Amino acid sequence: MEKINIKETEYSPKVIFDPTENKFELSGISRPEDVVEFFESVSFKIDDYIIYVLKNIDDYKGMTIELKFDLKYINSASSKYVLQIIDNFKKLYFKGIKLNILWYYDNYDDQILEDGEDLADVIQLPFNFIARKSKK
Amino acid sequence: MDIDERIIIDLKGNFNHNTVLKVINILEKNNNLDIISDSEIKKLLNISIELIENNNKYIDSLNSEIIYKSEPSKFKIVKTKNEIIIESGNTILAEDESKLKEKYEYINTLDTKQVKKEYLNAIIDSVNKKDRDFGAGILRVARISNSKFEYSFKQINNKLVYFNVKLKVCIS
Repeated sequence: MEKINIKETEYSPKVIFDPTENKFELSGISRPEDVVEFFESVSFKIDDYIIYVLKNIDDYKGMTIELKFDLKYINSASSKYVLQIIDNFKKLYFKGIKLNILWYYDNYDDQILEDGEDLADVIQLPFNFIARKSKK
Repeated sequence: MDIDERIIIDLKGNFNHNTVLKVINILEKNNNLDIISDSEIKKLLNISIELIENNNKYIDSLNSEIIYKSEPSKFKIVKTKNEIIIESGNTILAEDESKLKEKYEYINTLDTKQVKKEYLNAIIDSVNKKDRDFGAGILRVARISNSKFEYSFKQINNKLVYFNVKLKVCIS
């Protein structure tokens, strides 16, 4: 199972996925120029991980996977892929694996909070919304 | 221009992926001048990203001969006493005018809850499909701005039309 370690740019988010630590992170600005190309490479590796875990589910039962989202801006095209990623991990949730979904936002940023709440509504999983205090 | 009006951004030309960076930098500079609150800046940024990317994607889909004959795209943000006016314009094919008009007319009939529902449905329907553009951008703009679209079409020639859209965001 491959790790993912993609650095943040002015257009695309940082993506970290460590199958050995059971942690996934998406942070920064998400509006890649080619959103399909960017997220497909991430999705393939997550799919591989999920298939592997489902095949070896007895070894993973009771485990917690942390999904951390700490986004500054996210365009509508990226929202689809964030939903897709969480939806994929949900397959593990149905098999008894806990998902700890952390959604960070600055306390003045109603937009990112709303984006997280929308996703939580759609995916029907509990999100932990974590507010950061702003400078102003 | 009214004495209470202030132009925050006024861009004209061929937009690309970097245009959004320019807008982000200008808005964040304005943020430092305490003209608009942090929360309002975030709203404007999210709206700007969607409008400019929409503008960009459409123009990129046209062939180069048409782009050469088209009028430059524009993007403007003006702050008045009680609201922020965002305006975006670009050339479109005349054959796309009625479809676009229908789309904006339809969105304008929706209330806040209905806009949210349509937006989320557009995203849900697009999951596991490879579409680069699944039409959620304008719904997202409607959702964030909570504003009705004002739009117009001006004929350039028999094949091209200039499409202009404006929305007003109330500020505290």
